[in-house]
Amino acid sequence: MSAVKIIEDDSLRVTPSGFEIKVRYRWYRTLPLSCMEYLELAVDGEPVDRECIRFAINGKSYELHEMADLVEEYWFILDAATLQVELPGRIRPGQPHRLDLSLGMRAPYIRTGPGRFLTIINRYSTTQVAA
Amino acid sequence: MESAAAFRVGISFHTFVQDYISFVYSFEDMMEMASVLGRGVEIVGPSNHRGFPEVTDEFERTFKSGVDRYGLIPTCYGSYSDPFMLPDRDLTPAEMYEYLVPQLKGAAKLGFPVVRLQYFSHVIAEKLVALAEKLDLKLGYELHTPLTLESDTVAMLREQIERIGSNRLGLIPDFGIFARSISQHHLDQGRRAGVGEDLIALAQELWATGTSKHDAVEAVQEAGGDERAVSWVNMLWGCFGRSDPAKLVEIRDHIVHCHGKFYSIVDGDEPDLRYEEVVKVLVDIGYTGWVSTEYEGGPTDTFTIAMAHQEMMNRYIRKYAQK
Repeated sequence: MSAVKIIEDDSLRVTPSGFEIKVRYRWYRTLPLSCMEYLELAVDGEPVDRECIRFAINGKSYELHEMADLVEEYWFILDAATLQVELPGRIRPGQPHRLDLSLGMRAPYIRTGPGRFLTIINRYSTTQVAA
Repeated sequence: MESAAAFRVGISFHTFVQDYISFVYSFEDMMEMASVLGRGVEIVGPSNHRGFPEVTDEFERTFKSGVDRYGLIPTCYGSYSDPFMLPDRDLTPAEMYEYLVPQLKGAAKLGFPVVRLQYFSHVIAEKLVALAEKLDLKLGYELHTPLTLESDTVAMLREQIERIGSNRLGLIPDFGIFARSISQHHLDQGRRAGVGEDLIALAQELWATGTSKHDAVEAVQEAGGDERAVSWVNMLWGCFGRSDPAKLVEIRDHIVHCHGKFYSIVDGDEPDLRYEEVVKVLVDIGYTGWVSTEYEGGPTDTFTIAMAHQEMMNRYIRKYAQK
């Protein structure tokens, strides 16, 4: 068995507006994006402002604050989403960068208390050289 | 060979999920493995096909082609109510129904005779039963921990099933409710998540004394348990129930399918679940449906452990079906 990696290997790419990485979550089933509770990314130890991150899936892309309303946009369990980060020049091709991602997905049928639900916690760190 | 009069043992694709999500096994591979794992196939909707909650025409063709090629028998489709999919409020009954309609239609389209319901859907039972009549489906509330045969919620579900009085609506016991102990794998999961030995011992004690999930979470928090400890306790209470297999007799007329949940096989037996008693009762009450082998333990060769589970099941069926 090879474990699912929350940040896919060799997925860091420099783009004209910044960079992107491919991400997955570790659970057994597809969820609507409305189940995303948090997504936090840091590059070389510095947190990335969430307003700089777009989440791309199924040929569309969204700002993180839009997630809560996306009940009909599903993240299929075998698919990687792309995080498109708008930070021009932050990542340089050919140099190693440390990436830390924390992604919480709500289990939409497991209540742990009034107004509280089980969160599938995905934390992952990797160092990648941008292509 | 198993006795013709007894129930049959098939495979839930949930068994392979760790290999499936990491591309070790494709959907096609699972279909092929099912051909030597009892041939009865159960799938988990939002895991096994794209387009959930709908079933696409493409998936229908892929699935039916595999069923024909490998001589499989669709047994049960796992549906979801997902009442907490919105961040700020629960789904309304109307929204939940709207979410389940395509799932039931999809299950029928694929040729499944039974749909597993999460018990939350009891609020729309009458409407779902009417739809099941049209689609020629049976529906079953899954009796999965933290529900047990003794819980108030299950008493309520049984009353509802009897009141509605349709053979379209029944129950699907998951054998995780028949635990005698917590598996070593699950204890080690807590350790790996950083839960201290004192909290691990506390959780085991709370479980052994029949503490509710709610009270167990509170006790662990009071003892200093953090988010990970709470998550682990929730997982334990969601895997191991303390029902008595003899109580299956009380729901004998309502069992439409069963989940043969298991966490390990040691020397041919499930050390933490009361399998021999469960099989004996199912034989005694004349259950003739399917039990899906459903592995949910640690990383292992899932095909081999599924075979081992089915060998255990069939050994007990032979023991009790031929007196």
